Amino acid sequence: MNIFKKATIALALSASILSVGGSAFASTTSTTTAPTASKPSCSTDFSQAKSLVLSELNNRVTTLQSLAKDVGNAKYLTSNDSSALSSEITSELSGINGLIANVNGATTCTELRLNAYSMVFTYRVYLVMAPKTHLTISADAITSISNELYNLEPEIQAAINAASANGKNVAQAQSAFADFQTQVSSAQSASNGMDQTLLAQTPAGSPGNWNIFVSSKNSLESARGELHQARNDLTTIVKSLGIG
Amino acid sequence: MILRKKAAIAAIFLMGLGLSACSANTAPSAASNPVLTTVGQSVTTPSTTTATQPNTSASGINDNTLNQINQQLNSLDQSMSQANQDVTNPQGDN
Repeated sequence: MNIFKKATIALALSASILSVGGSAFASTTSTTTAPTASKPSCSTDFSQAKSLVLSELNNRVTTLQSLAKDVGNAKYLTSNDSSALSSEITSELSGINGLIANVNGATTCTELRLNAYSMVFTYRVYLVMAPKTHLTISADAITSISNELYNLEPEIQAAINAASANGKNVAQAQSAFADFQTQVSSAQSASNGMDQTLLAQTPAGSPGNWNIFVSSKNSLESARGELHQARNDLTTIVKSLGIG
Repeated sequence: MILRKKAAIAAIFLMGLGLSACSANTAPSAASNPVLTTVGQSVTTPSTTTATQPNTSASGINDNTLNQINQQLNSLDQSMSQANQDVTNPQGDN
């Protein structure tokens, strides 16, 4: 699903909110301007509109808590990137919880709209924070794994040389090793510096920064495939040299 | 008398060989004794004619290496799966 389909769904959900609580949230999906004055329909269904906003806020809390857990469990996330993501997630959680308190105390549709607007545009939990977190974790993992595989290259070449010195045919191993080096080098290049690019993305930059997330995802997906291929190459080398 | 002369001659002979220390309760010094030094070297110096084998401990590349890489790739696959979900099918930010 691309961002345009996403926008279509957003508009559809706006329509459903419209039917429940008036046009309270319509403006938050299609413009970047502050919401307009309350409509009578919101006043009529105020409690339902309030419940809907609270539900959306609580869903974001759940997502942010899950993101915090993912950051904590990420083995290859650098300490700097981990700190940066944790700080942002904590800040967003604090902000969203503040909105929950605001909405719980809201008595007018205008208040609901203002808080709903902030929920979407100030925090961008789904369109910025989630992909930013998971892509950064993936980028750091690819950097770490590709560097580790790169550091194995002298040992691999030494094993091939030793086998060759013993009269073993190492053509298959040498060929696999050449591909191994190509795959690892490409994966290293793909993830190099990507964490900084991702961490620089902000809610204010959305939806304009969506293409950065898409292109980063595509690059990392390719790099992931390259690392899998490098693993396959190394399997070939180990088997052909009989050093397993 | 004859025995005493023979003993004295034997003692002088041994001193000439540099082995008189053996008669005391001290250990022989290899450093000061060229004979012992040579013997020690012949024992401790290994032969270098053994062929080099491409063994796993020397190269460090083996099945364990592959298992570790597999675990790392599994972890990567999980985070990429989440990233794919975020980008290809994001939740409604509205």
